[in-house]
Amino acid sequence: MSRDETKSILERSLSKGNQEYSLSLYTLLFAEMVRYCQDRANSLDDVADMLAEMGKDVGWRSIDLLYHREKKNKRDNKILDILLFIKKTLWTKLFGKEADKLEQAADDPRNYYVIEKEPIICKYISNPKDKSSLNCAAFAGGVIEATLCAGGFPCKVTTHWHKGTTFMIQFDESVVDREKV
Amino acid sequence: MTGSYYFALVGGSDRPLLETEFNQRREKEQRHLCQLIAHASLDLLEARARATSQCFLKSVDRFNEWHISAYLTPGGAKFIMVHDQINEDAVRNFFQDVNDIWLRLRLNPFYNPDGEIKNKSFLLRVRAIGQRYFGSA
Repeated sequence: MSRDETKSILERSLSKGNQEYSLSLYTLLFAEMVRYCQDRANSLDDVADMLAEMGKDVGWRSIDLLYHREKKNKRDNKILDILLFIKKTLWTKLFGKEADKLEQAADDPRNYYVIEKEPIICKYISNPKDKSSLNCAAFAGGVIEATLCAGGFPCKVTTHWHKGTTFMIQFDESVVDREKV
Repeated sequence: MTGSYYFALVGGSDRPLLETEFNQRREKEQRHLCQLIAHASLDLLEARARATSQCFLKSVDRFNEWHISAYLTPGGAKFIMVHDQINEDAVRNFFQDVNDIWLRLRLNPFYNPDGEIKNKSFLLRVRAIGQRYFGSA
C-alpha cells in the first residue's frame, strides 16, 4: 500500500495533474457505457436517457472543481457567462478542445444551441441503420444539463443530429425573466 | 467573549445536508431557532446572489441579535452561518476552508448528489475548521 492510497479523499490534491489521457482507453470506456445502457434499456430513447443520467452525474461533480481551478470564489449569474464556461472550460476538460459553436435561437430567447461537428466520444461508435436515431452524445447533453441546473439555471437539454451534433438548451421561463431585469 | 455560531450546509434542493454549532451557550431550543432563521434567510440569500458574482455573500440577513452570513458555491450549495457576533474574516475563512473539502466530497463517486452527508471524516474536518476559527467548542 503506497502512501497515497491511505490518504483520505478529503486531503487529495486538486491540481490538474497529467493532462494527457489515452484516447483508446477513453473511447473503450465510453463504448462499454453505451453497451451497458443498451443491455438494460427497452428502447432507443431509454438508452439516450440512461446516457444522459450518467452525464448528469459527471456534470454535477465537475462544476465546482472547474470553477475553483479557473476563478476561485467567483460564480456566474448571466446565461452567456455560464454558457461560455461550458463551451471553453468544461468542454476542454472533458473532450480536449472547445465546443465548435455556441448560438442563440433567433425565434425563441429561451433556446440556445451548442454545436459540435464530431464529438470525440462518438468517434468510434458506429450506428447501424436500425439504430441511427440514437445519438450517443446524449451523455454530453446530460453533462451540460447538470452543469446548468447546478449553477442555478434550470433547463432541459436535448441532443440532435444537426450540423454534426447539436445540443439544444431550453431554459426555464424564470431564467429568461431574470436576465431581463 | 466568544460568540456562538450555527453552521448549515444546504444542498441544491434547499435541504440541509449538514448542521453543526460552535460555542453553543444556551439551551437546546437555540438550535431550532437557528435552523428556522437560516432557512428563512434563503430567499434573501438568493436575491443577494443575483446581484454579485462573488461566492461569499457576507451578511444577508439579521434577526434580532443574530446575523446571518452566507456563501454560495458555483455548484449551487449554500453555506449559512447564524452568529451573534460580527466576525467577517473568520466566517469568510471558515467558508473557504469548508468549500475546499466540500469540493473533494462532491468528487467522491460514493457521495450521492445532494444527499445527506454521512462521511465521518468530513464532519470531523468541519468541526476542526470551526474550532480553529471560532475558538474552543
